[in-house]
Amino acid sequence: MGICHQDRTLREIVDEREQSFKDTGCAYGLERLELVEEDPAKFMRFQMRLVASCINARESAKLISANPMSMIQGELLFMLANAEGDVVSASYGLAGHIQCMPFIVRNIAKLGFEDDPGIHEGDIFSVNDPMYGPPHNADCYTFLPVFYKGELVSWTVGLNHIVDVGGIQPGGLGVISPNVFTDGFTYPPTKTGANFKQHKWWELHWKRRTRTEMFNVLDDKMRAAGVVSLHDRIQDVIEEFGIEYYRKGLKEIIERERRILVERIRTLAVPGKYTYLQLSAVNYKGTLGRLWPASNRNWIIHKTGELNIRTDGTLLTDLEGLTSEGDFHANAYEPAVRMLTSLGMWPMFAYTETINSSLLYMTDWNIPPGSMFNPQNPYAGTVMGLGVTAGYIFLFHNCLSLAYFSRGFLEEAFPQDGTTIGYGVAGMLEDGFQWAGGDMSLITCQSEAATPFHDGIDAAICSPNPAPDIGETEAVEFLMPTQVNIGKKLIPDFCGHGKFRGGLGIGMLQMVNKPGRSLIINAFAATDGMGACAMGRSGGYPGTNDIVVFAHDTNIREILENGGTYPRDFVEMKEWFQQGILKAESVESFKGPTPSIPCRDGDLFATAAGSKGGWGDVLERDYDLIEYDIKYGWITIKTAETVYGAKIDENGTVQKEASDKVRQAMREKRKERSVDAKDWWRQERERVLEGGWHEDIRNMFLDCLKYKKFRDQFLGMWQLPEDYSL
Amino acid sequence: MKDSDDGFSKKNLQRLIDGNLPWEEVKKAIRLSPKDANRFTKYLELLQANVPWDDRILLRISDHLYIVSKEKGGRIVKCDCGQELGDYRINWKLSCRIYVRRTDEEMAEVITIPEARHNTDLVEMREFYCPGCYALLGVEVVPSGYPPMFEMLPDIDNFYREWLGSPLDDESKDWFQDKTLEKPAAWMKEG
Amino acid sequence: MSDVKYIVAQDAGGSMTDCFLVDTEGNFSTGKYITHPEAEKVSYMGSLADAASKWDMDTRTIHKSAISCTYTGTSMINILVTQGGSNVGLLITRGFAHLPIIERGLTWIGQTYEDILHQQLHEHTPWLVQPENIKEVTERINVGSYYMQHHSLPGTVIIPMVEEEVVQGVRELLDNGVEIIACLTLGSYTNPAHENRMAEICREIIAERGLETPVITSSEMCPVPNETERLKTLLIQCYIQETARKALVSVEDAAKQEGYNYDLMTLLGYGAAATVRYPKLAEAVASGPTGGLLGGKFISDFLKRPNMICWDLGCTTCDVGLIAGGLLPVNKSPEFAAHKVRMPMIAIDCLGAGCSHVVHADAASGRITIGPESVRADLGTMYVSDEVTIGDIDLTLGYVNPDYYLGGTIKVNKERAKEELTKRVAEPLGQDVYDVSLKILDLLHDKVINHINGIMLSKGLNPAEFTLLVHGAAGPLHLWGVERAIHFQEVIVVPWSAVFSSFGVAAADYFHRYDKAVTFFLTPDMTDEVKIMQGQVLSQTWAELEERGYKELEQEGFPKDEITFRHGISCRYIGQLSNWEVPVDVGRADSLEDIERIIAAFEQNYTNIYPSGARYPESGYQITEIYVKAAASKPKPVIHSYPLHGKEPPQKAYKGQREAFFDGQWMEFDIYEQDLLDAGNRIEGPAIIEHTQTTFLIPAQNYVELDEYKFMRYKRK
Repeated sequence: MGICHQDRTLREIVDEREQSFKDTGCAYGLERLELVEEDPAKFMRFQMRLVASCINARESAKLISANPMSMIQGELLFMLANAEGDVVSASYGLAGHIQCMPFIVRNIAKLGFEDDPGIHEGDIFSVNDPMYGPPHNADCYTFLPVFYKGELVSWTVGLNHIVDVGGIQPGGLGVISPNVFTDGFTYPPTKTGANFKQHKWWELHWKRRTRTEMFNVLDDKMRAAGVVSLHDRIQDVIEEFGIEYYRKGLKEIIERERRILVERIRTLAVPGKYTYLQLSAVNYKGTLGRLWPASNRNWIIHKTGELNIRTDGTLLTDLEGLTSEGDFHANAYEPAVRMLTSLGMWPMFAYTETINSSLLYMTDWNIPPGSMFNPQNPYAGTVMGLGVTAGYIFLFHNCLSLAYFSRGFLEEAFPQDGTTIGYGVAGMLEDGFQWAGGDMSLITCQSEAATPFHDGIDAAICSPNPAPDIGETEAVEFLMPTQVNIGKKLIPDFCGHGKFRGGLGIGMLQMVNKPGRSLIINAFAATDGMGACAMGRSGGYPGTNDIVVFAHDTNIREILENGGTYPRDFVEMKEWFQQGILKAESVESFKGPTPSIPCRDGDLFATAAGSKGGWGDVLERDYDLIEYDIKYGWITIKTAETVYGAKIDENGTVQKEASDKVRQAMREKRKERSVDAKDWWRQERERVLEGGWHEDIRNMFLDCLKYKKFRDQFLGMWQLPEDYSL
Repeated sequence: MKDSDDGFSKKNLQRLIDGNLPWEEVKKAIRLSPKDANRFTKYLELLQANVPWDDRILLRISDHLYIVSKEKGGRIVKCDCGQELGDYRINWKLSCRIYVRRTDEEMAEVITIPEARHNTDLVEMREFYCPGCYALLGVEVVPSGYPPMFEMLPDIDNFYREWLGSPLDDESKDWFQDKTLEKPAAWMKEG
Repeated sequence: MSDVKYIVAQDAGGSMTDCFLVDTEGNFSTGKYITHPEAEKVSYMGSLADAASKWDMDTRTIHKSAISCTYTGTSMINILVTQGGSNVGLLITRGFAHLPIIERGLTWIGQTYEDILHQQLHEHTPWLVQPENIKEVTERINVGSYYMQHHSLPGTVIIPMVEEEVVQGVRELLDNGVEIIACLTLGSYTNPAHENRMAEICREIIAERGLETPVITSSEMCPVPNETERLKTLLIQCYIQETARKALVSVEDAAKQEGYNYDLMTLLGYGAAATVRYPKLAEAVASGPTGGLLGGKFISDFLKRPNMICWDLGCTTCDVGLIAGGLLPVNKSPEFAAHKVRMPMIAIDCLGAGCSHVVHADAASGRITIGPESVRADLGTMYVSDEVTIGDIDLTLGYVNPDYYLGGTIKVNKERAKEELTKRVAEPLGQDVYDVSLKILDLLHDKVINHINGIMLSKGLNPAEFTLLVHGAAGPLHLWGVERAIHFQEVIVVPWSAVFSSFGVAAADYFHRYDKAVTFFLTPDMTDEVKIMQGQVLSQTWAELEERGYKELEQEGFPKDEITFRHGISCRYIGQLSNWEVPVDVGRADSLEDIERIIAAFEQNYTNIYPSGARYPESGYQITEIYVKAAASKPKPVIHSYPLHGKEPPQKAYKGQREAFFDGQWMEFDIYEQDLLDAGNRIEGPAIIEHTQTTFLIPAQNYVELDEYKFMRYKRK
């Protein structure tokens, strides 16, 4: 006898959920929405009650946390699911996670949790193992069953991004991990509490398996407090509306929202096939030596995708051609793909008062087995698979923006690029005190890309969170006193250019201050010298690269003691080196993630992210916009001339006639140095036949050619024989 | 007229296209729910009036490019300058003038911050120009040998029939086919 | 009669300026006048004249014998909205010049959930300081750390300040003609040395140039962590202070010209009265809605109703405030006009709805929407506006008496209202004008219902345990629509509900609040000596704040022995990033007992909010901030009780009947004059109680009883 409605087992209702949709094309086979039709006002009130409950659970619980990511930067979500696992409402925060809960519930159903360990009132469950639903182990889930008169009617869920996961690299964004054993503290679904309280033994795991026990323990308390208070509120809602209404209402929410989403696509888009590509890298060569021979190499990650907008208003995303699974940290499972990519769907068509998992019912994916998002090796490392799945957030931003542009809804076009930087730190202070931390300031707030009608807004978007917030330096330094921020600013010229330009990238410069006995920093970034997006928009230049620069053993202390000043970003820092004002024993520059870098007092550590693409031809940029940029120093005079062909006089005004001439000359230059497509093709074909690629690129092609779709394209484009091999 | 504008005036749409619609008006347009049902019609009317030629615009696919239907049959990509870039089922990039930035110096012309530039050991930057007006139509940053990306193949027949409710008279199953590879095949024959 | 003294209190709303006039016996009169944002003294005088006229007096007589005049204006919000503030200059830690532009990326504050997800709508607030007026200064001070003694202690200088840069910066700012200079350095809440030195240099140079440009530091405004919030508070203070003070002083001048002898007072966001010379005037920026809640607090204490919801529906506002357990909730990082600031403010939720809100009908989509724009004092097509408003509907449906608007002082045109309503809403939608009018009122009421439900729910509270106090010019008129959907413990309408906010202003305590960040850690392994030592620092800081209180209040004319203090802390478990504010009954922490009592107060408060599992005493306690409230006595209104008469209202109060369209049909409503009703009377619905400033509608299913204070108890039959 099961714990669900009419004594069915969890396994049974989960299967029914999938079957009924297959059969009818409607969620839960709901061809009619009776509650909605009967009294729409009441239904709206019902939905708003659920949302308000989630928001409140988050707003009150988050205060318990010690973790700036959840507390200030909002990397935290509370949500309500029905018994089957469909999420029907959620708080502010990492909205995408609603996609994962149905997978988690399906998994515990299939694992037979109902019999062992059993699912009872007051039980608390925890999971962060990506194989069972969570996107990566830094995102820890705590969930609680809601029973009504012995019937399982809901789950209340809380999750947040913790500071350190106890992997081989400090922080929660490790970029080196050959397999699950080096990912850090990864726990499958576990019953960690009873009677609405976590067991004491559970605390020990945070203390022993992660570097930041205090944060992680408080975070765990925060999640537990949130799901318990949400549980109590939901009981009240059930009392008020009645269990019948509640049970049925949750299902109607999903079907109703599904219909709205499909209608939005049909209203705003144009059906067809749209192409997307971003390239990034995983560079292990030389860092792992003989310990993991299979990992002692580099990979170029081929983030290819095709969005099919179908005539029925649903979406199919085809990932054939995606890089194969590997002995690295970047593998992921379907929930992670759906979780993060939904963040590209909220702004484009899934915005609603009531976040829910109806997206699952109108988005299909083709993820080939053996590709990095469908690993066949059960021990695949996934600690930072999100770094790669995040690339696909922008597939939806870009492909749908083009579709909306074609349809005439320019105001909804909102293309974005994958740029982002975070870092983890770990160290031992002078007195032997061990500590660790991490910072996501440049992940939780970036500048926007250009749209078809205006420049990207500075510091206005966070790809993984609808509510951007760069946080407070004073709060971050309180937790990471060994790095003093001496600059946190917009960086001139740091954007993809175009008729409309991307917002300016944001850069931070930090001075290492009294690290004590040891300090290591490892940065995570979204690009690897191949840009934020492989394709510009309407002739605009795509976003550029994330930047990390370490300057070791500098003379900055000396300069400051002598009453001097400091550089504010990596651009100034480099100029100062050139001018000899600033000296360093060694400088390490990265256009992407870094290995763990030891730092000493007086070292300088620069990060910069958020440089996103432009829209349209640079030579069509309005002179007034250029003058505005010059006035505020957003664009340098040099760039205004070389990139935009605008002559600026000493007052910072554009000399229009002179500029028109420059632009004409630049068009002439385009004419001179460009060739006809056919000639280009002939030359390019020669190169392909020569095959003189960089080893990493060569490996990428070798891998991609295993997949028919890419192979056909490649062979067809270069007219190569069927038996062609590199 | 308000009714025909359906919540978003043609005048404002033109200003939106020109990039000078005031932000307050843009916000109204974003919040407009339901959206103006006749937006696409208004859009086409404005675009048609803005181009110097008469071929019927079926769809706009970038700032400068349109899919138009020709008097004597066929649907092709056409630049607003009048330059034609062939059958829309073939990637228009293969009808462009092409320039490739392979060195750091060449990249420096468009990315003035060195650290932000692309790694030229791995990728090159391709620029696709209109052979008529030399407007920059597209940019790609990919490894050499990477097949040019076909940004968009619209399902025009179903769009007009199922979504707009006004089927085109030259409908055919064949319209929603990627024919890009015919071009290199032809080039191969030509030798 | 000559020795009678008066208290004048006014609340200038978006449309109406309300006046509450009390004499020393506690008798009061009320007045209303249309707000003139451009010349507030006009509406101030108009409103006072209206109140005085009811005692057959003029404003001069009142002012001559007035012992306090308190005025909360609209000026401050207007300055932000119209961007008419001062030209501000900013000196800031080098490397952070873009802080005001980045503004933490909070481009979504105040947006609905759907709009937050619809990120195309994200936007920054207008610049309060122009980039060319931001100058950077080399310097850096350590904020201290979570690891305490393991790393540098708070306030240590990491990078010495380069004073030449300050000099240079100030010169450039003055050359640019800035009107006021703001100074902010990171970590200044732990050690203001650099900020103070900056300000010193500024003042020297300003003096050299013979200027009087004011200089303000962030640690003066709010010595607490989080640089962006501190900066916003500082910038808003600088941006509005001078302009706002001018507006208030012009009102004061008007009063003084008529013989008023004291400083004009205004209301601060945390519910205190202060003179218009109060330095941190920005704390008054969002005091608009505060008056109503202070009035509610007064009534809640008076009637011993610790749980109260105060709902204010005016021409342009719909505010809901909560009093739970007799406490006014204070929000320390409130948000308004899309800014997030750091100043204590009584928590009030505002909703864009009111009688002057415009009604739109979209023929194409068949949708009806209310607002967001309001025609404010233009009222609607019935008066001088060309927009159809909720007010037009109330009039058309016969709820409001066209010949008695503001007691007949304002001529409204019922015919025009009906015509326009028909032409612009009913006909386009192809509906009957009266039916559609009711639908629109349902929309308005639903808005308010969801709003109230939302607020209660988000705090886990149950309306059935709360008293609803309705006020605002339109509150009693629309009460029925809300009360039908939510069941409250009781519903009260006070006789002066139309000017209730100004009553609250009169009822406000006179006090100043001083917050300061402190460093106080209490770990399990800590020795008693260390505890005591830290405790003494707390005591010392409290004493400093008390001194500041004495100083300012004495300047404002209060003898030392009349000044009383209340103390409080913001505390948390070590490691947490949020604080919980707790009042403590000890004002010193010199003994272990004192410290234990302080911590106990925190634990008590914490477990009231969270399950015990969320406690974390193992990690110890941290007190991050303390506050002192320095209060002085101030005359307040007194509420009179009346002898109870019978249920039957007196004939003189009965004004006959009026047809009104209600619940889909025309029906006769009995009309009464509120001022002529007696305590003890019972008014059966359907009835309408008229007052010169408001109208109270009672459906057939309800009735109203006047208690001994003539408070009207609205009940279901």
